[in-house]
Order: sequence, then C-alpha cells, then structure tokens
Amino acid sequence: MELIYKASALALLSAVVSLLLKKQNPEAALLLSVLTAVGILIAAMGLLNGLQELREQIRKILGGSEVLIAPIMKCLAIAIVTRIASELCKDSAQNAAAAAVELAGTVCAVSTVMPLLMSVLKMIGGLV
Amino acid sequence: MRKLLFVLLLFPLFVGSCKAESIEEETARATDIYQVESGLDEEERSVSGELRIDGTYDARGALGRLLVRFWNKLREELRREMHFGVVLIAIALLGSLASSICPGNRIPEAMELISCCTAALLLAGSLGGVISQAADALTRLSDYSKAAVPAFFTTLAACGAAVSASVKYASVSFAMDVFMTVSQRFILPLIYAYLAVSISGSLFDSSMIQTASRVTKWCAVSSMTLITTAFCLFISLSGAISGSADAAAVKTAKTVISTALPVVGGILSDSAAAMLSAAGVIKNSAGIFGLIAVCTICAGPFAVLSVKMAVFKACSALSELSCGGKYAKLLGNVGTAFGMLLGLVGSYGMMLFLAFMSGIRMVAC
Repeated sequence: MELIYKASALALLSAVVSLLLKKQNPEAALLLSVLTAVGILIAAMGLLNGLQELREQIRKILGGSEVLIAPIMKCLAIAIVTRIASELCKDSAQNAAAAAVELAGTVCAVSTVMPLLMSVLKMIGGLV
Repeated sequence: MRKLLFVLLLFPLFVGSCKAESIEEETARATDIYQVESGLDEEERSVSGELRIDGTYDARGALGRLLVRFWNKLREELRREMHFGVVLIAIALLGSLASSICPGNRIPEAMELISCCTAALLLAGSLGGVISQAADALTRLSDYSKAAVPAFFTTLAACGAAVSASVKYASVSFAMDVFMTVSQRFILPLIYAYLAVSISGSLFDSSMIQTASRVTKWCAVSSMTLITTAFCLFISLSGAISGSADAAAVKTAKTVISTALPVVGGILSDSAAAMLSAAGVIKNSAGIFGLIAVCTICAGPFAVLSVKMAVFKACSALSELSCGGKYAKLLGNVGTAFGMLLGLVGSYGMMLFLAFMSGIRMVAC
C-alpha cells in the first residue's frame, strides 16, 4: 500500500520537474521521465513475488510443466514493456515511434500465440 | 385285516417331506433371479448387499452405503478439480491484467487467444479419459441389463403377468439396444464434435461456427430426450394395456381350476395362488435390488461428471467477471459438454430404472 503513495508522489514530482526542464532542456526532461518510469517499475517488481508464487503453484498443479504457463507470462511482459515504451514516445511527441512500438508489441504477442494455436488445431483434429 | 395293518404301519416310510418355504427358493432357481445379483462386480455388491428373496432385503442399509460411496467419490473428485479450477481462474486473471495494461491495441485480443488455447490444451489431457469413463459406464449398464433384465422379467411372468412381462421385456431390450447404438454411433461423436466446434469458436470469430455449435448441441440433447421420452411412454402404455389382460387371465385360470376339478380344484387353485405370491415376493425383492444396483453403477460416473460440470460452469461465471468474452464462453461450453455426458449416462440409467419400477408396480395375481 505504501508503494502506491511513494510511486504517485515520485511520478508527480518528476512530472513537475520535467515541465520545468522541458523549456530549457527537453532531452533531460525525457531522460527524467524514463528514469522515473524505470524506478517505479523496479519498485513494483517487489510486489510481483505474489505473481511468482502463483506461477509456482500453477506449475505444481500442472505437474511441473512450464509449457502452458510461459506464453501467458511472456505476453504479460510484452504488454507492460509495450505500454511504457509507447507512452514515453508519445510524451516526447514521437507518435510514429509510439505506433511502431505498439505494432511490434502486437506482433510479438501474436508470435507467442502461434505454437499454442498449432497445438490446439492438432487437438481439434484429433477430436473430430 | 393284518395285511391292511401292515401296510398302514409301513406307510409313513414312503411319505416325503413337504415344506412350504422351499417354493420361493425353487421359483428363484427356476427363474434364475440371482443373475440380478451376480451381474454386479465385487465393489458394487459391497454397496448393494446380498439379494434376499424372502422379502428381507436390507434396502435401507444399501441406500445408506450408496449415499456414503457417492459422497466420498464427490469429495475426492471435487478436491482434484478445485486445483484445476484455480488454474483456470488464474489464467483468466492474468489475461485480464494484460488487457488492462494495454487497452488500446491488439495485445488484449492476443492475450485472450492465449488464455483460450491454454485452457483448451489443459483440457486435452483429461477430456479423453472423462469421455471414455462415460462410455465405460454405458457399457457397464448395458452388460448389467443383459444379465438382470431377462431374469427379472422371467420372474414377472412367473407372477402371472406373462403378457406384460413379454411385452415389457421386448420393449426394454429393444430400447436399450437402440440407445446403446445411437449413443456410440451418434451422440458420443456429436459431443466430441461439440467440443471441437466450441474450442474453434473461441479461437475464431465466425457466426457459422457458433451456429454449428448450437446445432450440434441441439441434436445431441434432442436425441437423448426423444429416445428416453418414447421409452417412458411406451412402457407406461404397454403396462396399462397388457396388465388388465394378465389379471383377467389369472382370474379365469383360478376359476376354471377350482370349478373343473370337483374336490382338489380348490386346493390346486390355492396352491397356484401361493406360488404366484411367492414369485411376487421374489419379483419385488429383485426389483428393489435392481433399482439400487442401477444407482450403484451410476454413482461413480455421476459424481465425476457433475463435479466437472459444476467446476467449469463456476469458472466460466467467475471468468465472465474478470475477462469476459471468448474465454468464459469456452469454459461454459466445456461445462455443457460434461452436462451432456451426464445426461447420456443418466438417460440410460433412468431407462433401466423405469424398467425395474414398471415390473415392481405390476400386480397380476
């Protein structure tokens, strides 16, 4: 619970400082935004212990197999990275780069689905 | 005079014993009624108990053991399926998390696709086992009906309901064979097809696939409903028509015997009535044993299928709250497929149940 207060305070402070820096030094303002985002994410990683435990429990229930749960975790990581990168690009008025990042994220997510999709199509063939 | 006295003294040596209580045992042996018990395996017999033809069968004890067995099986299956349900909910939550992170682009759709594929592949491991378990239950019921039903209806005929017994036996055997053939060649393949179409429907947005899914489900459910309803109607109507014919025949026979033979006619008529009553006691005992035997055979598969159906439906409802859409629909459809399997086993069990019930209710003597 404390993390969200600290993260909000840091983000607001960074936003105010970025606004001040933007007029004189836009590159420094962007760097500050990137560092703030990375800092908050690293702090939030600590809360991901719960997610790690869930992953372990699911792995145990599925008999130690990572094959089925790995694509979900990959897609989750792709979603987080895509969102952060896209918003940072939009912050510095680089909409084309933001769109390219979103497209790349979609392609990566779809490529994660492909092996599962092939297995499911084989399974459907087996049922019919 | 001496010769007469000598014959009278030796006469008791030539008289055999005559016990009234051996009628039931002899009738049971003649009708081979113990097939109703020997058609069960060891485990099922431990629940149903021993068939007693003198009307002292412990039905209450058997029902108690049946309930305990069903409850234990239900708990065991629930414990196993809860872990599986937790995994399905976890997948739904992770999917909704990814969707909330990137709402604007195509990543949530990819995540939903991954969730559906993962659930389908998780299901693949257990699906074949569940369907073959249902098919085994049907085979088990069919084998039991082939052992028990002829013996039961032979006893029914021995009660004086010869016409009813033959009509009912013919209709029961025919219905069981038809149902078994239709189940194996039509309904089970339809359930497989429904599962395949449901999984495809969760991956690809197509109205044609949705329609195919609805049609497949309708065909499977309607077939089961049609056969079971036709069987119930026929067995009720045939019982009503032939029952009165049997009652008239028995009454006529008794009257003819008692009036045609001047002295012993009444004794013979009473003896025949005693034999019919003995057969009636055996029929009722065997009928109740048969009812409990059918429930015992169905208890295991019912517990497994009902738990699976409940867990999938619950997961579908919970997934609807978090991620909604295709994933929840897939889980719901899989729950429906398990429900259809439950209906299939239940229909066959119900038909056998009704066959025994109609025999027990028959009163001809």
